[in-house]
Amino acid sequence: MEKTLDNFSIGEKGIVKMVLGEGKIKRRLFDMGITPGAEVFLRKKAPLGDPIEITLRGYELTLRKTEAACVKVEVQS
Amino acid sequence: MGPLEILLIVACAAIVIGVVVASIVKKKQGKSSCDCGGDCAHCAACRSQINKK
Amino acid sequence: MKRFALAGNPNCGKTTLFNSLTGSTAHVGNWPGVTVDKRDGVYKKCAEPVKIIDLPGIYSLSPYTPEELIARNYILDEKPDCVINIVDATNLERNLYLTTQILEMDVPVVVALNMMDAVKKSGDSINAKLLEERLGVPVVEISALKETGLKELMDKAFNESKKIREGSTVLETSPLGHLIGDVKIALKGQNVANPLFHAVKLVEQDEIEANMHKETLPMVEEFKKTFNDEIFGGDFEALVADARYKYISSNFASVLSKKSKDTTKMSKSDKADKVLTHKWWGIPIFLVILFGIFHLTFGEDLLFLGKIFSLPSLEDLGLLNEDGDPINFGVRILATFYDGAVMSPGVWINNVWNDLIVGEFFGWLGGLVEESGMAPWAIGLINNGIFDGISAVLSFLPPILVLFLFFSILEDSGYMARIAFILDRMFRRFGLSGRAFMPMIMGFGCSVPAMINTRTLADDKERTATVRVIPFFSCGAKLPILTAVAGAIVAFFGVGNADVITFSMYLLGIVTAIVCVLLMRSTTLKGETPPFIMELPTYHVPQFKNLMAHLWDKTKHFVKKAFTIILASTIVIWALTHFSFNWTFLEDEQVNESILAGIAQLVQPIFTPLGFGSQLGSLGWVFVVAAVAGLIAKENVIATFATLAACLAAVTGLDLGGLAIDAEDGIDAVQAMIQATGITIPGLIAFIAFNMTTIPCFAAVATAKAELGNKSTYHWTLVFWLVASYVVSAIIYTVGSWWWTIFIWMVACAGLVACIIMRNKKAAKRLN
Repeated sequence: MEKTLDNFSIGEKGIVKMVLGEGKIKRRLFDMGITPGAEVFLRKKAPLGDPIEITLRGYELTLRKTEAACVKVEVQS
Repeated sequence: MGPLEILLIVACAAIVIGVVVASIVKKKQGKSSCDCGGDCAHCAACRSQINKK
Repeated sequence: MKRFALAGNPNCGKTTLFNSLTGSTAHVGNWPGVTVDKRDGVYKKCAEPVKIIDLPGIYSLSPYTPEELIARNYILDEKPDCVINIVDATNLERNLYLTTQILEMDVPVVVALNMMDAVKKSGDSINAKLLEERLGVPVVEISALKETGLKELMDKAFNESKKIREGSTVLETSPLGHLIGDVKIALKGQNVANPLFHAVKLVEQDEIEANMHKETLPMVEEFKKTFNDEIFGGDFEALVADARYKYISSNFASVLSKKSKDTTKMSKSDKADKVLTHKWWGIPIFLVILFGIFHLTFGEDLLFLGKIFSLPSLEDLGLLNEDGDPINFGVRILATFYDGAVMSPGVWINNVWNDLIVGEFFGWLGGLVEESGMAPWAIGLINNGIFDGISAVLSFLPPILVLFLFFSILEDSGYMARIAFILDRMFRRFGLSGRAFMPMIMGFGCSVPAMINTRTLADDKERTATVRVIPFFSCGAKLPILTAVAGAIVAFFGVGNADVITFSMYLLGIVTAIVCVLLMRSTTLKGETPPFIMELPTYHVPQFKNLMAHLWDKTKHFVKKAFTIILASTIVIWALTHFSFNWTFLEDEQVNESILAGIAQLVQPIFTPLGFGSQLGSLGWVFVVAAVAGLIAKENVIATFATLAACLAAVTGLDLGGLAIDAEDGIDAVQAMIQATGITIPGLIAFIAFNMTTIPCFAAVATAKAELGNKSTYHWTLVFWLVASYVVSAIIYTVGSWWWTIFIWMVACAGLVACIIMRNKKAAKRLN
C-alpha cells in the first residue's frame, strides 16, 4: 500500500517511493536522506500531532506534516 | 589641584579617549560585528561578494 | 602558515574537535547549527604550526542557506591546504553524502571518523580500511571528545596537504555521468578552477552556478530535452541527490557491521524522549522546567519551604541588632542564604558576591579614597561616579551567570532541539518555524550571538522578522534594569513581589515579540511559513568542561565591558553632570544647571506619554539620560542611576544612609530616583518596558546591520524598534494610570487589525 508520510501512524514503517514538491523543500528532503529506496519509520508525533519525528538512515529527523505530505511511501508491515 | 587630582583627570581622559579610539579603529578595520577579527569564512564570503560587485 | 578547514554535518563534533586541536573554548552545543560563523585557531603539534578553520556545519553544498554558502565559498575561494571532513560514525550514510560532494573539489581531503567510541560501545564496528580504499582518501578513526587519534589525523592531513588532489565523483556511473564529464571538459577549457565541482553543480542547475557559467548552461539544457527518467523526469537536482545516496548505500554502507539490525529498538534517548516530548506532558514539562530555572536563579524562598513550614526569620531568632544588621560575622554568612526561607542557589551566590565581596571591596576602596586628602570633587568623581557605576554593573554578574548556566545545560543536553520540535506548531501560527526558537532563546543571554545564529534560518523574511524581535527577549544586560527597578518598586511602594515583576516583564517581552512577528508577517514581511526539517540530536549529559568554558567566556566578556565602555560612559556622564554650559564646575546640588540636564530637559517632553517625561518636574530628565545611556550598553542604565544618585540626594536633601558607596544593588539608587522625581509605578514599569524593547545596545545594532545586509531593511528596523518601544510603554503607562484607557487602545488595535485584514484580502483578490 502506498501513502504519503503525513498519513502514517506511530510505529509504521515503509520505503520511500517518490518525493514531490518544489525546489527548496525537495532539495532539503533529499539532502537529509529522504530519497527513493530509503527506509523510514515513524517514531513519534509532537503535541497536537505535528510535526512528526521519523527514523531513517540510522538517525532521527523531524519535519512538519506539510513537508511529510511531499513524501510518498510504500508501507511495509 | 594636587598631583593626585591631575593624575585622576589624566587617567579619566585616557580611559574615555582609549575606548572611543579603540572602537573607531575596530570599525575602520571592518571588525564591527564579527569577533573573528575579520579573518573568518563569513567575513571572507562578504569580502568576495564585495569584490565581485 | 598552512590552513586546514574542518567541514562536516551540523552537530557531528566539529567544534569539539576544533577546541581539542587548538585549545580554545568556542561555544559547543547539542543542537544542529551552533557554529554559524567560521572560527580559526592554531594547531602546534605538527611539523609546523597549522591554522585550523572551523566551518559551519552543513548537510550539503547546495545554495539554500547562508551557512552552506559560507562553507562552500571558503573552500572554493580561499583554497585551504587540506579539508578535514568530520564524519559522525554513528550516522554514516547521511554524513558521507556531504563527503561525496567535498570530494568533487580539487582539494586534499582527509576523512575523520568521529564518535568511534560510541559506535564500539553499541557493539557495532566500522571497517575504516575498506572505507579508505573506496573513498580514495585517508580515513582516520578519532574521538574528538576523548581526544584520541588527533595526532594521527593531523599528521595525515599535513602529509596530504603537500600533494595535489584532483576532484573525483561517485556520479560517473549514474545516468548523468556522461553529461557531467562533458561539462567538466568544457569548463576546463575555460580555465575554471574546480571544474568537476562546478560541472556537477551546473548539471544540478544550482542558481549560483547557472549565473556564473551562462555560456555552458545550454549544454545542460540541450541534454535535458533528450533525457527523461521514469521517476525523476528532468529534475536533475533530485537525480543527482538520489544517485549519491544510492552509491553510498551500495558501496560505503557495507563497511558498517551492526550488532543488531533492529532500528526500532528503544535507546536511552528514546526513553527520555517518551516523557519529555510526550503528546500531552511535553509543553507542561517545558513550562515547569522554565519556571524552575527562574526559581533557582531569582527565588528568595526555595521550593516555598519558608511559606510551607513558616520558618522563623533572622529577626525572630534574635540574630539581628537594633539597626537590623547581623550581630556577628557568622550570622552575616547565614543571612546570605537564609532569612525566614532558604534562598535559591542563584540568590545565595548573588548575596555572597554582593554583600561579602563587591560591597566590602568597594567600601574599603571608597574609604581609602576619602582618606587620601584629595579635593572633594575628585572624591565625588571616584566614589560616586566611577565606583558606584562599576559596582552597580558588576553586582549583576551572578544572576546573569546562573541563568546562562541553566540555558547552557538545556542546550548541551539536546533538550533545546526537542523544545523546537514541541513548539513548532505554535510558532507556525506566528509565521515562523520551530527553528526560530533557538536564536530567540539565545536572546535571553545576549542579542549579538542570537542575531548571528539566525543564519540557520533559510528564509530571508523569517530571518528579518526574527532579528527584529530578538532584543525583546530580555538579555543579560537588561536584567539589572529589571531587578533594580522591580526591587525598588517593592522596597519603596511596598507592593508586589520582585520575582513576579521580573518574570512578568520577561513575559511582556515575549508577548511583544509575538505580536510584532504576527504584525510583520501579515504586512511588510509576508511570505510562506518556512519549512521545518531538522535533525534531533541524541541526548547526552552536559560536559562540565564545556559548561565552565561557556561561563568563563561570558564572565570575561562582561568584566571587560564593565571596565571599558561602561567605565568610560560613567566618567563622561559624571563630567556632563558636573559642568555647566560655560564650563564652570558644579557642586552635586547644582546638577540641574549641568550640560546633561540642559540637553535632556529638551527631549524630556517626548516621554510624557510614557510616564517619565515632563510630569516628573525638573529632575525627571534623569530617566531620559539613563535610557539614552542604555543605547551604548544596557548596563549603563543602572550605572547612570548609581552615578546620579548622589547628585539627586544632594539636591533634594535626602538622606540616603551611606548610599554613596553602598549602592551596589542599584535598587537603592532607583529608590533615590523615585523619591526625587515622584515617578509612579506605571511610569516605572513603562520605563523598564521602554528599555527592553527600544533600540538595543551598540553591539547588537551593529550586528543587526551586518546580518540584515540591506540598508533600507536596517533603517526600517531602527524605526521599528523606536515605534514598538514607544507604543508598548505608552500602553503600559496610560492603562496603568487610568484603567479605562484600555478601551481606547483596544479600539485602536481592532481598527488596525481590520485594516490589515482588509488590505490583505484586497491583495489576495488582485492576485487571483
